[in-house]
Order: sequence, then C-alpha cells, then structure tokens
Amino acid sequence: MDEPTLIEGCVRADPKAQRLLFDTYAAKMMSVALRYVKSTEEAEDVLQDGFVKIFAKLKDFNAQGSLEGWIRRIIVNCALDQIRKNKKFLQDIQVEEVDYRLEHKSYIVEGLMADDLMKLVQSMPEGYRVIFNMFAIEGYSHKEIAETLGISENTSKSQYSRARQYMRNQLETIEHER
Amino acid sequence: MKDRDEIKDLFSEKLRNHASEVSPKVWSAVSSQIGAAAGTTAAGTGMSLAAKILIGLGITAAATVVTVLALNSNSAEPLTPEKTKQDTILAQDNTGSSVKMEENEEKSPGSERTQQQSEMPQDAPFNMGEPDPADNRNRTSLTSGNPGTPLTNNGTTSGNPGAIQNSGVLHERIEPASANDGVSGLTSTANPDELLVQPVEDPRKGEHAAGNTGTSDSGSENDQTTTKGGEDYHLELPNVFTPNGDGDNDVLVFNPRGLTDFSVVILDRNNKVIIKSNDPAFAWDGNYPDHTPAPEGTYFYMIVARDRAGNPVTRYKAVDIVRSR
Repeated sequence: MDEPTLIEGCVRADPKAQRLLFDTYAAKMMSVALRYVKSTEEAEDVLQDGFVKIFAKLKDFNAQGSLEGWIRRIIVNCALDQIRKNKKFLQDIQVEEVDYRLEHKSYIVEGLMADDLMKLVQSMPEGYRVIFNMFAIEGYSHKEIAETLGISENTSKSQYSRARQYMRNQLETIEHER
Repeated sequence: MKDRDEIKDLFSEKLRNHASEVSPKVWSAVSSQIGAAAGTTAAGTGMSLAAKILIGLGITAAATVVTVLALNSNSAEPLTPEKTKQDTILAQDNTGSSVKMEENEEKSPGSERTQQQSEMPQDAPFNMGEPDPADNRNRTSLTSGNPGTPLTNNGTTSGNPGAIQNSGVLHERIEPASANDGVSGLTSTANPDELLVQPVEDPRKGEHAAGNTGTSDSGSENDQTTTKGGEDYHLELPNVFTPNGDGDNDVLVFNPRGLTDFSVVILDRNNKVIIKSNDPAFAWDGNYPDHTPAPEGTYFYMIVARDRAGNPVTRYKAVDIVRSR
C-alpha cells in the first residue's frame, strides 16, 4: 500500500489502513517520545494521545510534506504537552536521573551505538534536553523552538550550546575510557 | 571533535530513525478511541456521540465519587482506614477532583486514564497515605515487600496524581511485583526507615564521574572489592557478563562478604523484574526464570544488604549481557 492509499484508507477509517499506519510509525515515534519524557509510561501516553490526534487530523495532512515529518511533529507536540503538564514534578526527580546515568564498558562498543546515545539523551538535565532534541534530532530551527516553547531565540541557542557542551563532555569521557 | 556541529550530526544520524519497542496496549487504546470516531462519518469531528457519552459518564462517576466521599467525611461516623485515606487524598490534591474532571472534559483521550488514577487508591487499603511527595522519592529504594512497612503499591503514589507518572519507573514497577509475593523481594529485617533515608548509591557520583577523565572510574568500580568508610565488606559489581558457555564470565555474581540480609533484583531496561533472590551466592546465568535466554543488552540490578555494623548498603547498577564477541 503506498502512502497516498494508506492515508486515504485511514481517512476512510479503514481499520486495516489504520493499523498499518500505526505499525509503520509507532516504534520510531516511541523513540521520539522516550527522548522527551522520562518514563516508558509517559512515553506510551504521549504515543497514544499523539496517534489519536494523528488519525483525527490526517484528513488535513498536506500531501506535499513528508508524512513521517508531520507525524513526528504531532508526537513532539504531545510530548511537550506532557512535559508541561508535569512541569513541577519533573523538577524534583534527581534520584531517578541518577539511576539512569550512563554506564559504559570499554570493550563492547566500537562505535557508539544508538542505544547508548539514547541513554545519553535521556540522562540529560531536563532544562536543555527538550531543546537539544528539537534542534539536533528533530531539526527544528531556533526560531521554531522559541515559538513553540515560548522562550526567546537566544535562550534556545544558549541552552542548545550548553547541551552540546554537555554531550561533548560525555562523549569525550566515553572515548577516554575506551 | 572540532567540526561545526558534529554533535548534531551524530545524534541526528543515529537517533532520528531509532525505534523503540511499543507496548501492544498503546494500539488497543488508540484503536478503541479512533474506532469510536469511525462510528460517525469519516470526516467527522473526531469524536463520536458514543465517545461523548462515555466521557459524560466518566465525569458523572467522578462527581459521584467525590460527592459520596464528601458526605462520608462530613458525617461523624468513625473513619475506616480506607476512608481516611481517600479523604487524605482528596484533601491533599484538593483541586484534584475538579481538575481531573476538567481534564475529562477538555481532553477525551485522557479520560480513561485519569479515571483509573482516581480509582486506584481504593486498591490500597493498607496504605495510610503519606502525602509528602518527598517521601516518594526516598522510597525509591526498597521498601516493597517489607513486612514492617505498609504495603506500598500504586496507592501511595497515586495519592499524588502527578507523582504517579514520574516518580520513577524504578519503584513503580518493582513494587507491585514484590508486593505480590509479599515475602521475598527486597525485604530485609531492617528498620524500614533506615533503608528509606539511604539514597540510591551516592547520587552525585554518577553524574560527575562522567565529567572526570576516566582514570579512576569504571575500572575500579567494577569487579572490584568495594570498601567504604571503614565498614569493610566485599561486593563485586560487574557491568558486563557473557553467558555464552565459554567458561569465562558466564554468570553474574556479586560474591558478597561481610554482608547480611542480602537481596538482589534484576531488571530489564524497562525496569521489569526478571528475577530476584535473597541468596548471597546468587548467580544469574542470563536466562529468564523460564530458562529462555535474555537478549543481549543492558539490564539493571539492585542490591540491598547490611554491613556488619548494620548500615544499609544499596547498589543500583547497569550490567550488559554480551553473548558473542
């Protein structure tokens, strides 16, 4: 089933098409969600809300753009909603962050594996994790980030550069230990 | 590492298409919601009459519960623990019930979940709510099956609706499991309070270890005797083992010495309990309890014990299974 057919099927609420769309993108989007929110449960909530929205809005999808990019944006927005919803709680969970600190071993990874990077992202301080995700991985511009998060463009830039510094330190540490 | 933004390139390349396992329950939740939507015309508003009715029922139910509770707490009859607890919860997230209802109204997808949360406290009659969210944090360690402690399961955390979502995957997942078998798990005969105040191993260490230049860190921490602050005990904390039958590092062992009340739990990366034991000689062969081999990857273990002086010793660490080289 090609993409237009798939979309058309979903808009018609054809269960097969819906299932296929979900199966095609759910795993990737789960990863996206996991980079933004901390727990698997939360990520599942994000995924669920996101896909419900996706199916509801699919008829408005503009076939010019990439379907995956469009889906991804919806998931990111849902993740941001989730973070906002829990803002005050997210600030006091240092203990959990510690639990997820990166452990690495000298001889397993030749190149860094995606899973390690994933963990690295998840271990990032809350403050710049979102910006790092949006800019470095989702490819938002600082302007878009600023608008989405309601912060200034400069804040976005400086937070990102801090995030990058953090990542660089982490990566250098890992390289050192190899 | 001097390029323009090699960090961005690296992460974007490696993670953009990264995929993670999706629990089947997500699809069932989604499909039930969009299934309802499909009941009307495909180009409809996205919410069918049926869905609205369901939500309406949800709100009514929530309102009823609140009303009943309010009436109960007003009457002079002696409060049962259950009631007290529910009242505590209501009082504590005073805005809680109304907020929940608002959520139900404005956001259909959430309604089901929200309600589950509000019902959960009733499942935890033993737990006389400890409203302070800080407690949740401390409890991260290991209270679960401890006979001296009230059974802490979902109820505790759901006393604080926000906390349930992010109070740590770790204890949320572990507790129900240990509570089920009631006895074993991470029990120790110790006074629970002592355990509670002990944070998971030296919180600052891990984060800053990443910053140091790696001379002292991973090598010395793993596979070595760990002595700490004069209490001498021995505990090996491997970060990798290779259950491939080559006779070398085939099992995960900790070889504790000088420790009592030893217990260990092994978790997968979703923090699901794989296996647990109170046996100091415990050795994990990398298999699930049903003897199927666990896939390669990262697992976590948590050890709780006491040293000779009776001080709690807790360790939480990642370990990788590598089966081939």
